[in-house]
Amino acid sequence: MSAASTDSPLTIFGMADAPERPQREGVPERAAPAEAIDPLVARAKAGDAAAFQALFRQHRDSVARTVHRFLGPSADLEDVVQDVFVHVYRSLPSFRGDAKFTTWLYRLTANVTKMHLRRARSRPRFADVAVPEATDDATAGRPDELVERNERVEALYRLLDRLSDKKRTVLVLHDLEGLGAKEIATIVDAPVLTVRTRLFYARKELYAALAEEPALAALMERFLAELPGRPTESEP
Amino acid sequence: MSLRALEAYEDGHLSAAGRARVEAKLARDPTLRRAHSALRAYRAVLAELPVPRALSDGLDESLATRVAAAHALDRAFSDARDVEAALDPRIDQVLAARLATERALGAAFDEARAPELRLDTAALEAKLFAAIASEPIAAPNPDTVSDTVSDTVSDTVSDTASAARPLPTRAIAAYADGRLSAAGQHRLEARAAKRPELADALARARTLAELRRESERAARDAVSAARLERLELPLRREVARIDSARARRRWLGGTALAIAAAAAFALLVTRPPAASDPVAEVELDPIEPLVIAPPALDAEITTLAGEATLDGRDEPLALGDSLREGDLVTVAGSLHARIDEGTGVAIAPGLFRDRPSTTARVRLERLRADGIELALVEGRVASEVLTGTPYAVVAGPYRVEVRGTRFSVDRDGDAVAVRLDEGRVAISRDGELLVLLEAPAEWRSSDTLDVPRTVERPRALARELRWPAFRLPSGRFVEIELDGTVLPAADGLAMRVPAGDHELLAIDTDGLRHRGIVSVDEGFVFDERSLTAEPSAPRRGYLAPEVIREVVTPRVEQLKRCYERSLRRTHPELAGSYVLRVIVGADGRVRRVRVVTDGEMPPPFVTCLQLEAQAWAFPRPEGDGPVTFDLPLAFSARGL
Repeated sequence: MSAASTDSPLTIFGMADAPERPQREGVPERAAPAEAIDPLVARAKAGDAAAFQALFRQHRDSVARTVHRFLGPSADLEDVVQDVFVHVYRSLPSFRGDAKFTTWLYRLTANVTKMHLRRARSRPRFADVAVPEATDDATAGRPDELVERNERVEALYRLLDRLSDKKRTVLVLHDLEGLGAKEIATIVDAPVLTVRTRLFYARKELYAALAEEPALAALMERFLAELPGRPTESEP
Repeated sequence: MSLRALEAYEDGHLSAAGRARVEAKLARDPTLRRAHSALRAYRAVLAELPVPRALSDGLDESLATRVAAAHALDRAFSDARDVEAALDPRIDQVLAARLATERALGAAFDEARAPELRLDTAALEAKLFAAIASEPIAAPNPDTVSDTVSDTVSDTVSDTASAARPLPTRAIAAYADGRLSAAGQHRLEARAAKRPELADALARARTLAELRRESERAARDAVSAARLERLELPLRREVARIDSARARRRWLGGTALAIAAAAAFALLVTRPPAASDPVAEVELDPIEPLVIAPPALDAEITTLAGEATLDGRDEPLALGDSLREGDLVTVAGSLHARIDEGTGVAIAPGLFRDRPSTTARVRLERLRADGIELALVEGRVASEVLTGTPYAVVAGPYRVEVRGTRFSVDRDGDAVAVRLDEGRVAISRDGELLVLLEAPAEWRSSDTLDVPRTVERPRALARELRWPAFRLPSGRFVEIELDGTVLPAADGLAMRVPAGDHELLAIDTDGLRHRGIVSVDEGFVFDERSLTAEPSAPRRGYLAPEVIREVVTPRVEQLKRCYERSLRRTHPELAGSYVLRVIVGADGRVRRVRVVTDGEMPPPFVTCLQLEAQAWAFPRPEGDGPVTFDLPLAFSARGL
């Protein structure tokens, strides 16, 4: 069995691959390269500049997406994307094809982003730095809705900042990036069970802290109000 | 009921009976209802996550540049590694030991700090020596290639003894390392002007020293690819030099001696020379006893507003005074000093939330050509360091070390805040590296301290210091503009300006504008008659009340914090009504804040209010004049 998972649809919720395909959960296997390395990757690995450029073009948007998911609204997106590819360039010779290239790229992206977050954490962040998000977003609503939405997203990232690196990585890759637990296990080099446990506790911590962020607390109240039935005691 | 059950319920993974059970429980269990709404809120926010903005078009190109640089450097390193293998027997034992030490050091640094990013300093060193070694290869006599460095040295000495005087090797090494006195430097440079091969050797030794320093720095830093590019520069320069040297084979004797100089230089760095060292043979120049203790530097005061004193001296400091190693300076106001060419320091009280300070104290721990170290006791030191001289500000247990930079350090007790506008600094605590900052960056050791918004640029940094002094009387003006530059004038002002006519615009405390041309020369004394009041009534600007409210209202919370802090810390009974009188300059910046009250007010509370209000920024008043407004404040502990 290859460690590389099949291309499952990106399910955001629930560990879609778990109930349907029960299997032994253990350390992802480090099988010998089952399939040949993608020829483009092989060429880039051999030092072909054009192939590297093609690789960059092919993956830059997905890397940018992942970085964006990890960092949240941040002005550093492009810098980090560049860093990722400089690392790709330097580390490609050590890519053995044990895992899919995209999985390997995820791992590298996660590590580079983690380094960036650690660096950023050692400096204070001004709470009021507003980073403009995509303005060409077709789903953008009225300005006040947009502001509220941005507030909620920023609040979410403040909560993510409170998680440990390991939990954050798993949560972002699973809930925000839509990867399956198995692929995440390969990326973070941990047993699938550990990934699920981290995910569970990460979510639990998030849910518990949600009410501390006013923007998210408001949303919670709205959902509370929508719930049918009446609690037996008054809400705290 | 577990979280997993709730998630399964939301995902529709439960049977009808399961759903009914969850719903029944949800209807009566408030804790579960909250958990459920938290889960839904979380998912709702996930669904609204924005897509990243489009990457800029330039990304491909700049990445290509970075990768190309990394590639070129990698290749140079791997070439160098090959050369190094061939080079080993050629390097004498001391050099080899030094290389080994640095290699181990570099590896240790790499491992400790940046496992993901490695720079092979050993390879860099190897490249350096490969570059040196490549020269004899270009020499017409192929025999020298297989010789050891020391052999080459003695051969060359004997070969060229008749042709030219030998080079002062040890002096060159000392020169490159910055250990010569100014007079020694001068002498050597004067001689170099007459001897091209000496000039060549000097330049080369300096390049090598620079390269060595850079490689050491790089080993200490977590090296990013961007820095690698910078690192590559001295390498390229050195290689270019060697190429051009090859083209000038007639200088063979000179260049071979330069190799000896480089070897001697490395040797000196490693340990004091012993009589048995092969390099001692090269030390043939008897009139060069130049290596002395690093010369002391003076710091000259270039701008002074307010009062500054030296511990152990009664009269206050004045413009043009010198500060020396060991001096402890206390500044109430603002002081700018220039240390040597290219380094400027501004000392001023910090803007601390907890204990607003009114003075800054700095001890000049070391003021030498080979290193400058300032100990910040309290307040702020802003620095601009444009030279390669090692420069550090020590603030309590923290040490902020500079690598060509503009930065400021604030210290209040044990709390330290650093703001970096240009270059990079390393911050360590008790000898252990905490963080490397790359501009622009901010860092603070605790939340009790604010990081300043900008780093004050020390004035008159690299300019000619023989300029005459321009002085204004104390307390007369709130704002002046000299040749279009706005300067604070509240506490009197003294600064160096170029001799000649300057256009002066001064706004007095009543908002009246005075304009005129002042001729500043040696012994300049300000004469108010040189200014004429603008004919109209005091020029007043206008800020609409709602504009003022817009700026002030969101910041009232900070004023409240000043009050709460005084209440908690020192004055539990503090209460009352105060009026904050704020003068806003024509540019919208707050020029002066006065607290008007009938009763007593603890000074730290007043300072805190003033500092907060001074940070307000208004739009430019209409009518281009200052605006004064009163802000009534009532503080009471009830209801807190």
